[in-house]
Amino acid sequence: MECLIKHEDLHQMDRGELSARRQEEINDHLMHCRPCRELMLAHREESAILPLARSAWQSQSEFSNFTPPAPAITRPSLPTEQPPPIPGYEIIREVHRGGQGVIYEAVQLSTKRLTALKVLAKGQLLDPRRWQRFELEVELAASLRHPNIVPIYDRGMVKGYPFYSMALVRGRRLSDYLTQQRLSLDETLQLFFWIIQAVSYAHRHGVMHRDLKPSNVLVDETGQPHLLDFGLARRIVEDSPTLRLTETHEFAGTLAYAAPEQVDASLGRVNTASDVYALGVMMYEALTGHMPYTTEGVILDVVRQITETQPLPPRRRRPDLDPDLDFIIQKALHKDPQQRYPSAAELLEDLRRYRHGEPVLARGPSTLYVVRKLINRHRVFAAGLTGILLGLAGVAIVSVQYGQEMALQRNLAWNAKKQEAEARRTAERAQELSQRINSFLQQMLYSVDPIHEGSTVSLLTMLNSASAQVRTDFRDHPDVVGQLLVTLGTCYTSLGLYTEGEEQLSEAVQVLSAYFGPHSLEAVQAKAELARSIGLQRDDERTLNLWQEIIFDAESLPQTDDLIIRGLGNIAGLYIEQGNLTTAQLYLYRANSEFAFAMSQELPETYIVYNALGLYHFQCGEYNLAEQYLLTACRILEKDPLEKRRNLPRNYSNLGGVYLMQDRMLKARETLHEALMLVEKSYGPNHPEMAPVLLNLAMTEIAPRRRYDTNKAQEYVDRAKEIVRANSGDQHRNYALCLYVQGRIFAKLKRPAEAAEAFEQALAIERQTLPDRHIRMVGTLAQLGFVYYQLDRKKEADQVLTEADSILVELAPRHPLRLAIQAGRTFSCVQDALPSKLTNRD
Amino acid sequence: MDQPTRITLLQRLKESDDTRAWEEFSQLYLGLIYSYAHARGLSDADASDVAADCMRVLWSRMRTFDYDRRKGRFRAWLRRMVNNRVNNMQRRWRLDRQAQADLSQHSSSQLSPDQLWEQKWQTAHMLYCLRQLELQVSAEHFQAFRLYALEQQPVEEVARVCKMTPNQIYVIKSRLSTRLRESLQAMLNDSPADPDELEPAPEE
Repeated sequence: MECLIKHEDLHQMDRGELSARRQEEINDHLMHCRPCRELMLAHREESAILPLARSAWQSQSEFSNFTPPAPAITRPSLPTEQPPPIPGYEIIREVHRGGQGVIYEAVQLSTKRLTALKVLAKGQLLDPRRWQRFELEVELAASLRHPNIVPIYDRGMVKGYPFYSMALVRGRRLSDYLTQQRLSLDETLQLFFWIIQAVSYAHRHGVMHRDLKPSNVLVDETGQPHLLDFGLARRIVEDSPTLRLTETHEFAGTLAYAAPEQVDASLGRVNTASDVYALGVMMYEALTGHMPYTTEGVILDVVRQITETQPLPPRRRRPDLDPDLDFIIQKALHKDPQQRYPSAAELLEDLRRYRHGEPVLARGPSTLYVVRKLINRHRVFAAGLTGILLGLAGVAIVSVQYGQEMALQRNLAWNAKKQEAEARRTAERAQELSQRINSFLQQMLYSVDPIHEGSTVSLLTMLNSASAQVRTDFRDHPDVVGQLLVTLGTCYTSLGLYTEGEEQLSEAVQVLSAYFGPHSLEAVQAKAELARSIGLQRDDERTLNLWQEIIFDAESLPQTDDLIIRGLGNIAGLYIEQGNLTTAQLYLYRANSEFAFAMSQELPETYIVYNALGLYHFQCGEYNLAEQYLLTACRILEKDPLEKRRNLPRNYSNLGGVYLMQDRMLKARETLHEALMLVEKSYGPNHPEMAPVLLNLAMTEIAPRRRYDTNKAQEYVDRAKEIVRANSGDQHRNYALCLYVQGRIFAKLKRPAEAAEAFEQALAIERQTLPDRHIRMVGTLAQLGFVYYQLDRKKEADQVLTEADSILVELAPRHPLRLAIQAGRTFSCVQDALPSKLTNRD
Repeated sequence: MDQPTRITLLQRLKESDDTRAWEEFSQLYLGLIYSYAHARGLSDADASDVAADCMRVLWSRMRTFDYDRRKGRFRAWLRRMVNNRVNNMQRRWRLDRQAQADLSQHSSSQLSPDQLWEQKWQTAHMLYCLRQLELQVSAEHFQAFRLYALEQQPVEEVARVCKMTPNQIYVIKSRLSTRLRESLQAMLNDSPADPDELEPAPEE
C-alpha cells in the first residue's frame, strides 16, 4: 500500500473509529488517486460479505442441532429400578413407564406366551374392597373377545404390587401413529370406525372404558387399532362414584379426554355416553389437529373449559369437513350427556350413515335435509342407470367400437362417482352442485338416446356438445369444470381423438391450476392425464418434460407415490424409445429402489415400470429377463379392467416380440394373434397400434429353422404398410419398420438386391426420424451389412456393421446380435460363406 | 488469484461416489432445512424429522439431477417441499400454548416464511463456505480471520494471540474475505438454484 491510505485506516473505517480529519484527508486523496479508489471499492466489496459471515458464524449451532431421527422402533429404556419378581412370569424388558405403573414384556411361564405385564404402583389397592373391585374389573375385561380389544389373561398381587397381564401388541400409540402416518380423511375415519366398533362391542357387554385416550390405543403394522386398559372399565350398572380429582394422580393426565360429568359429578352420572365424549374429543383432535378447548394449565381452569367452553365447530378449523361429520362430532361432544349419543353403538351407526351418504341422526329430522340426502343417494343410482343407457345406445352407433364405449362408460360412471364424492366433500354447495352435474350428465346422455335422435348420433357428437356446454353450465365452479374437462379429455383420448383430448386436458390443467394452485394435487393429477394423452401422440419431448414436471411437483405433495412411480416408468419408457438406455436405467433403478414396496406388491401404478423394465431388457437383448418383467406387467394389468383394456394389447404385442426373439415361434404366434385381436377390438382394424403387431407376426412367418411362409409374411407387411402410410405417412419411423421386415422377406427369398434397397430406405428414414445412434437402427444396419456381403459389397458391409456394433458396445454390450455381427464379419473376411444363414441369427 | 481449479460440490456429487461431497451436501441442506423448520416453530424433534424426510427425497433427486431439465426451479421446489412438510407437521401438532409462545417468539423478527427461507438459505450457504475456508487455509490464518473478522476482537488482542503484526492480520482479513465472497458467489450460482447460468436452457 504505497499511497496515502493504510490498512490501519481501513480497519478504523470498518470499526467506525476513523477520525473526521483523517476521513477528510482520505476523501481528498481519493478524488485524484485512481489506485486508491479501486482499493477502496475492493475493500468495500470484501467487507460487505462479513456481516453475513458473522451472523452465520454466530448461528452455527442453529444449523447443527439436528438430531438424527430415532429408529422406527424405539428401544425400551432400561428399568431404573428392578422389577419385583412376579411368580409365573419371566420379565424380559421394560416397555413403558407411566404414571399408573410399569409395563413389561414378559413370558408367562405356564403357557410360554409373550405377554405385556402391567405392574401398578405399590400400595394402590391395599384396601380389600378396592382389591375386590380390581379383580372384578379384570374379570370383566377378560370376558371381552374382540379383535380390536387387547385381551386380558391374568391378574395378581406381589409384595403390594397389583399386576395384570395381557396380550403383547406391537404397535404405535394412536397419537404417534396419526402424526407419523398422515392419513387421509377417509383413512382416519376408517380407523375410528374400528375403534368405535370395539367400544360399541364392549358397551353391549356391559363394560365401559372410562379412560379412552389416544395413548390407550395401539395401532399395529397393518393399521388395525387395539384398545388397551379396559382394565379400568367398570360395570355400567354399577353406580360408581365419579373419580375425584384429588384421588388419583393419573386422572390429571387423562383430563383432556374426560367428559364433563367425569370431572364434575353434579353434571350427571358417568355412563357409556362418557366414552362417547372421549371418542368425540379424539376424533376432533385427529381430524382438526386441535383439541376442542385448551387442556393445559391449572386443573380448575381445565375443568371449567371441559364443563363450560363450547368447542369451535370442527368445520371452522377444517373447512373441508362435511357438515354431517361436523354434526356427528358436535353431538358426541355435547356437554349434556343426555344430548349425546347414549353409547358407542349410536355413534357408530351415524358414522356408517355418513359414509354411505344416508341422512345422519345427528342432524335431526329436518325434512328438507332428509329429502336432499335421499335425492343425493338416488343420484348415484341415476348415474349408474345412465351408464347402462349409454351402453344400449352404443349398440346402434356404427362408427364407434365396442371397446371404446366400454372405456367411455367406465369413465362416465367413474366421473359421476368421483363428482359425487367430490361434491359431498365440498360441504354446503354439495347438494345443488351434484344436482347440476347430474342433470348435465343426463342431458349429455339424453342426446344419444336413439329414441330421441335416431341411431345416427355418435358418441363423438355427444362429447362435442358436452365439452361445449361444460364451460357455460358450471361457469361459477371452476373446480367442477376442471374435473369434467379431465373426464372429457380422457374420453376423447380413449377414442383416439388425441388433438381434442389434449385440448380438453390442457384446459383442465389451466383451470385447476388457477383454482387450486399450479402445484396442487388436482393440477398435478390433471397433468398426468395430459401426459398420457400427449404420450399416445408420440410427442416424446413434451411428454418427457411434462412427466418430469409432474414428478417434481408430486414429490413435494404428500401421498403421491403412485404419480411419481408412473412418472418414473413413463420417463424410463421414453428414454428407451429414444435409445438412451443409460438414462432409462437410472430411472428404473430409482423406481425399483425407492418404491421397493410398491414394486414388490405389484401395485397397479407399477405396471408402467415393469413394462419399461421389460422393454429395457428386450433392447439389451436379455430376452428371458424381458419376458419375466412383461409377464409381471400382464399380471398387474389383469387386476385392473380399465387399464387392462388400455394397455393389454400393447403388452401382448411386446411379449410376442420377446417370444419371437427367444425363437419360441408357436408361443409368439399365439400371443401376437391375441394382441392383434385385442387391438382390433379396442382400437379398430386401422389403428396405428396394429402395425407393430402385424410386423411381428410377419417375422414369425420367416423365422429360421422352421417351415416358413413368405407369402403370409408379405400379406402381413402389406397390411402394416397400408396402415402406417394412412396414419403417419411413408416417412414415419414405423414405416421404416415395415421396410425392414420387407427387407427381411426379400433376404429370405434370396433377392439380396431388393433386400438391400429396402434396408437402405429403412435406414434413411431412421436416420431422419430417430436420434443419433439409436438402438433401433442396429437391426437395420446389421441386416444391411449382411446383404451387402451377399452382394459382394464388402467395404460398405464393413462400414455399416462397424457402426451397428459400436452402438451396441455403447448401449447393450451383451446383446446377442453382436455375436452375429462378429461372425458375419469374420466369415466374409475368410471366405464369402453363406451369409444368408447368418441373417437368420439375430 | 491462487484459486485452484474449482471443482464444485455439485460436480463432485454427480461425477463420483465422493463420500465427503455427500457428507458436505447433507450437512448443508440438513442444516438449512432443520434450522428453517425450527425457526418456523417446530420442536427440535419435529424439525429433525422434517429435515430427515426432505433429505430422503433430496438424495434420490440428486442422483438424477443431471437429467432433470426442470432443475432451474430447484430452489423454489425445495422451499415448497420443506414448507409442505412443516405445515403438515404444524397441523398435526395442535399448537398448544407452549408452541404458540415459541412461535411468537420466533416470529418476533417479523419475517414471512419466504423471507425466513431466503435468510436461512443464504446463511446456510455462507456457513458451508466458512467451513470450506477453514479446511483450505492454514489454521493460524483462519484463527486470525475468525478472531478479527468474525468475532470482531480488537486488533491488538488478535495480534497478541496469533503472534502476528496488525498489518498481517489486515492482509489476512482482506484476502480471506475476498475468497469467501467468491466462493459464496460460486456456490449460489452453482447450487441448483440457477443452473441456467451453467448451461443453456433447453429449447422448448
